[in-house]
Amino acid sequence: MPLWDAARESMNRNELADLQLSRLQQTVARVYARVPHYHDAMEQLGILPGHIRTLDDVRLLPFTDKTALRDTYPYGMFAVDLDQVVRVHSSSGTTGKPIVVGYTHADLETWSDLTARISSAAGVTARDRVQLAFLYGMFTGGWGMHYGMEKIGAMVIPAGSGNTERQIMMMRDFGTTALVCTPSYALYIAEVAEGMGVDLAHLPLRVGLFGGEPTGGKLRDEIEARLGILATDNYGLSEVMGPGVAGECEHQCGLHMAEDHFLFEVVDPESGLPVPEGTEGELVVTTLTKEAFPVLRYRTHDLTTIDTSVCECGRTLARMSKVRQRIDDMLIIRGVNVFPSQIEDVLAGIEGTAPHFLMVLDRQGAMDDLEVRVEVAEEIFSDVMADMVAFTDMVASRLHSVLGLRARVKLVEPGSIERSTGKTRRVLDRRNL
Amino acid sequence: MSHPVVYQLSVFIENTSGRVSEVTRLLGEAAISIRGFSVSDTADYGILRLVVDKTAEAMGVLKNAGFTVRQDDVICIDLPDVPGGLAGVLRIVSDAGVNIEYVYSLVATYAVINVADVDRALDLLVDRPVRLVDQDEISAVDL
Repeated sequence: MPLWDAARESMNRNELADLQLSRLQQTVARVYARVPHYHDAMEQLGILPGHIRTLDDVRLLPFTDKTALRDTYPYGMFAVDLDQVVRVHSSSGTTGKPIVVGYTHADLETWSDLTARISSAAGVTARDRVQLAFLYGMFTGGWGMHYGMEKIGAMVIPAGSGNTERQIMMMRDFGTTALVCTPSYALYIAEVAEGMGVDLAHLPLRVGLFGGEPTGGKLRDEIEARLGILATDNYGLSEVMGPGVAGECEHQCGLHMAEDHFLFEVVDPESGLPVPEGTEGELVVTTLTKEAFPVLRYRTHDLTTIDTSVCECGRTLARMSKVRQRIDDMLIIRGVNVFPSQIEDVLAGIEGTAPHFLMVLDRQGAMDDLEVRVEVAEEIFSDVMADMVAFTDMVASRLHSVLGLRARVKLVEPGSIERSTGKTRRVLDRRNL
Repeated sequence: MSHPVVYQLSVFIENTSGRVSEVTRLLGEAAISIRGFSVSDTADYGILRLVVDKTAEAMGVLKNAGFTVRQDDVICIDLPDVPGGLAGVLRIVSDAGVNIEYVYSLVATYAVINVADVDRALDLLVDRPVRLVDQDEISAVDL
């Protein structure tokens, strides 16, 4: 598969390091001057932009986490005047407030270049017909991949998510060759297709680019078998850009990272110190070219390992392993980020109770299934059945409006949910990812 | 003005086997006599309603065993034991403008009628031709 940007993707790593350093210095100077959060954080540590003399000096800078991005809602972290911002996207925060990110023309140019890059790495060319069954709207997923695919010259079918039977008809009638969506949705499509009597493996469909949630080994094998495609994994997060941060080539041996646009570190989640190459740690990302929304040392909470050896495909850009675990309690359910604390908030909001609950996650075929078990505390117990049903209906409906997810709410006897002496276990994840 | 009421215990019963059995076993062992009961259920759980002779004790026994229990005052009526007896009572209750949540029978000719607003319902029924019964009478039943 041809490299989208051979000069960059197979760059000599010393030259890459030089490029990263000069971009890092520029970024640090800009945020110091224009973003109060970074200015204050650096000032507190006595760090000036001039202190960044080598790439290792990035460690002098403070980490940034989700809280900072949430607390500066909506535009507090922007480094340009708003009239230079030509796009915003948002992602859900842990408690009602979303994180808003922005892009200048140059940012959009970079973004589409990087998604074109990962798409090429997966083998997509101008002759492909790409069905984007990914969320559009305020999410970065659909839009990010859309512009990159368009740049390559592929035919983009902006299907969005849902309406699965129609998606399958389009695949059959439009001659879709590439599929972009979450891995769960890919399996769901396979299930519905089987029900419709459509044999996906015999369609021109030949490659998939899956993101939004990790595509673990077993999941990938199943997708490849049932859809008859090469399944590639890609990684991104809207806080630093969206999709395009990293993506697999046809050899499926790790996700090539856009090191010319991001500086990656892998650290011990407790100490924050770098771990040796090949050891698992938390991925930390610093943007090197973002204009509207630069970020320094963003803690992704994703665990991965890095490999800087040259890949069979010829790329010198380092590869990260698939992310299988996070260091916080965030879950990804049907592609949606969910924190158990959100369930707690919903329950507390109803009659101010704080009942014990347990989130039970199963995989029903392709889709994640969430059941929230709530212990019946006296405050919520009624002698009238209709009131009880109204209670569970209300919890389910609030969960749906807060999380965007449909969950079953099941009342259970008090004491039936296991207690622990340490951190309360809120989740029983029975999915085999 | 104090109206006659009967005490009802409601117990949350998860839909696993043996829970109702467990409740009745505990009450039996504590020598508590059940005067009447009713079960309302969904696929996942049920509400077991009980009228007993020793309410406070029953509450204690069940709570101790980890059940979620609540106590409510309910209206209890002594029905005329003739065909049309229940129909007559229910018509009187609805003519009085009282909305019934649920009804179930107890031993002998007694029946529990639960309503949303017990006090208001009793005010409306006090002058009607129905015989309202209190907990003392139910506790003392000896057939």
